[in-house]
Amino acid sequence: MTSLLMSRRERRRPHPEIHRVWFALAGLLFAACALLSPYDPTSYKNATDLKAESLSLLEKGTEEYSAHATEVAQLELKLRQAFEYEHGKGKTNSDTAEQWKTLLDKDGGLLGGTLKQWKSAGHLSAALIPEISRKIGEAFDEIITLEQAKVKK
Amino acid sequence: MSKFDDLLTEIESGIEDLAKTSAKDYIDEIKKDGSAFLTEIEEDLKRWTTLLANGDITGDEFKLLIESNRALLEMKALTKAGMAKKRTQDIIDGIIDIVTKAGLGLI
Repeated sequence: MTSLLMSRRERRRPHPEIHRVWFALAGLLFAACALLSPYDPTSYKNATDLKAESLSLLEKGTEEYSAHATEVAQLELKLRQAFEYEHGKGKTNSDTAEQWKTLLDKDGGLLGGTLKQWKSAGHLSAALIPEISRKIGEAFDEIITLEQAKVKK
Repeated sequence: MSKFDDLLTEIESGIEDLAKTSAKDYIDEIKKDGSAFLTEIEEDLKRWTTLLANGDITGDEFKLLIESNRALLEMKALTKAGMAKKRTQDIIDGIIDIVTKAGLGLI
């Protein structure tokens, strides 16, 4: 009788390897949830709209800064809002938030630095505008490319 | 060999193929992008030096342009880092798919 019960219990016991598979699956499911934030249409729109707006304003860079100070301030506010929106998404969106930070850095070589240069010098050289606009455009494209690569839910 | 052992072998081989393909594509892409950007930097530098020498841009503007490539390189690296996370996520999804399909085959 005892041996009969034992054999029934053993028959019900799962294959020992199944535990390894379930642990691995649980780990993978956990990891899959935590890597990268999903695609966000608001983020995409912010990046494409602000790219157009920034490049359009920079075309006026040869003119006196004082004549465009209000427009620059308004653009800077929108850029700051876009950064805060991305930053607020947390760790899974850190690469995108860092890209905005680099783009807007006033001591850097992209949009933040260019607007600072315009303000401090009073105007920008005509030859600088197409060169720096190309780099700023490429920088926005990096943000847009990364957003497009995210999983659409 | 039990059906369960067959399942483990099938999962192992599926994961191996998935990892090989994903890693090769990623390395090829980085090499291609890195090489294109180096050529771009070289051409930029020649053009910007001429602009500075001709007085078309100021010294501060030249520095700004040089800094733009460094910042852009940083942004490209962040895109790659994000893409790498996406690929890892794809691989994990692929593994889950392989394990699920192989497991369903046992039923």
